[in-house]
Amino acid sequence: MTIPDGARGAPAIEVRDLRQSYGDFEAVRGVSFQVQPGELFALLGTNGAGKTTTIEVLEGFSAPTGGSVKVLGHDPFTERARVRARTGLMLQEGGFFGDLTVAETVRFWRDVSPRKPCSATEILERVELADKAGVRVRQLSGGQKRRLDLALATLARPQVLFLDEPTTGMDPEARRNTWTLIQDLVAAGTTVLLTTHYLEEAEQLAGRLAIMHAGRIELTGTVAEVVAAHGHSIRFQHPAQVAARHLPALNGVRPRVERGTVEYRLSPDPADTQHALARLLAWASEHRLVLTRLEVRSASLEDVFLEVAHGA
Amino acid sequence: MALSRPQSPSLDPSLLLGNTWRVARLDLTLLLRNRMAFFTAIAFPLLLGSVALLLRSGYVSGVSTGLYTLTGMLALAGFFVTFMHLTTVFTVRREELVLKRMRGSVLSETAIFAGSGLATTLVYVVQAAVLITLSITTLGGHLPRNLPLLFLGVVLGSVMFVPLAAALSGVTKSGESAQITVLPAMLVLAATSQASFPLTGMPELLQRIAASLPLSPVVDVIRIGYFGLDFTTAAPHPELGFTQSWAAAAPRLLLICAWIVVGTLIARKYFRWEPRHG
Repeated sequence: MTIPDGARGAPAIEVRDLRQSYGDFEAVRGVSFQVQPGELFALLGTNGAGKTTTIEVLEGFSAPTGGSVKVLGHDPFTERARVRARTGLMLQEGGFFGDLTVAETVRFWRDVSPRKPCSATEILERVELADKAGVRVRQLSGGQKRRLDLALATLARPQVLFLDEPTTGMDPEARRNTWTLIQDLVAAGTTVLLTTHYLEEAEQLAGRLAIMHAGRIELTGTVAEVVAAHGHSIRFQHPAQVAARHLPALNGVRPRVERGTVEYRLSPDPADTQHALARLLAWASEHRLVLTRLEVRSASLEDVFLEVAHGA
Repeated sequence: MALSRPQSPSLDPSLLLGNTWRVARLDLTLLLRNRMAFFTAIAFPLLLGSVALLLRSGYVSGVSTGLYTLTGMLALAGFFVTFMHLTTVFTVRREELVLKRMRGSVLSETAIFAGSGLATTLVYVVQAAVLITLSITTLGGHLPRNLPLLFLGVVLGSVMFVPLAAALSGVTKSGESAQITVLPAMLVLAATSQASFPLTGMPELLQRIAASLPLSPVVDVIRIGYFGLDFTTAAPHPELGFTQSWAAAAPRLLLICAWIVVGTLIARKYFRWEPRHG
């Protein structure tokens, strides 16, 4: 189930048949994708799917075991000097000097950065940490640390930004504000590679996404493409007076009955869905049944994700 | 994971120097803020040096016991301020993913290590100045007979301990265990370097082995620089002129340089940037 990459140009990120092993364990098994300049691409997957390994290779922390990666046209591991000054990265966790204050932390990283488009105060205001400037980093909450991390990742206005689970631990308001900040960066032309466990985050932010499982990309495309490829479903509460084996097939599809709910998984074609629904309603009328909690809906990203995660 | 294999950022020398200084300044700030680090790297070496104040009478190896001990403690101070402190710093920073963040930035690996080394070397130089002042004011000592040589011994000694600390941190699991992994090295080096007592009673082979361990040449160079006597030979040590002291110290300086190379090679093999894969 693969949807081709988006419109092709000179990609900001290019991954070809990436493989990465640690001893006998193959964490990434032949992953390929491209991210165009100014695009936000999300990598989704369960824990251990290979997202962080992939992003770490792209960040230049390790050389790939097989295949190749390019960031802004350069190998991020062997050509670090060319890549680092133009990229920003947000680690999954930690990485702070706990005894420094928030302001000192920003000042240090701003000082070492070759580009200084704004002051430390402006940077802290951007992530709403200006009131914490004098607080030691170890005293910040988990969400505040994530915001500080985002500030550090973006302070040099990088061309490519790697965000590894950027909103973990944030409260809903901070998460929304972070999304706005990320959307502004993308609108300004920054290329973003994002990993997240929050599907809503991917739906909100990603131009395209890939769902990884066991070191491979199982699905890729825009949110609409990924979801549309998954089809529609009709659900209703299982009528007590009808045995599961007597439920009708719709468009040749047999239902699944789980925890009192009947579900038909249909093709993405709306005409098929409409036909199936008409057939179901006719059957219910014929048997004098009232179908409670009847719903027809497109698959959600969560449905797709869970199906991939369960190896369906 | 090697200390450096790929092309590293900040190849521009001025940027490298600037970033090295920024890391050093940061490390000095953190050193002064962390009580444990402050005690290990700053207070304890000075306390050790102060032990010499209790040894005002008698002679060892042809010089006063107090000055002999103080110059030995001056060499040993480098072990604490650089080796012991940096082993802990590198280990804790790896655990807390600080090293990962630093490596993922525009900072080069050279700037990361050189910056931390520069900070401890500056502290060590100040400690050396304090201890020498102490020797003059309380132990009837004098200004070093060859100050540049003593200074070089202090600086090279500190530089030598940077890659050795990086190497040891690579096999150290946590910040807490760093104190334990450093302990055997401290005991061996302190006992074999003649920092506090001569090894003349030891079999010749063991003396030779002891003389080739990292701290021994630092002790010798500092004593040659301070006393102007040839501490590479058995007592009574012949007096040396300024030029002669450089010649006498040269093999010991070369040995320190050899340890810098060896330490770097070991660090390349064992140093890890992050807890997960290194």
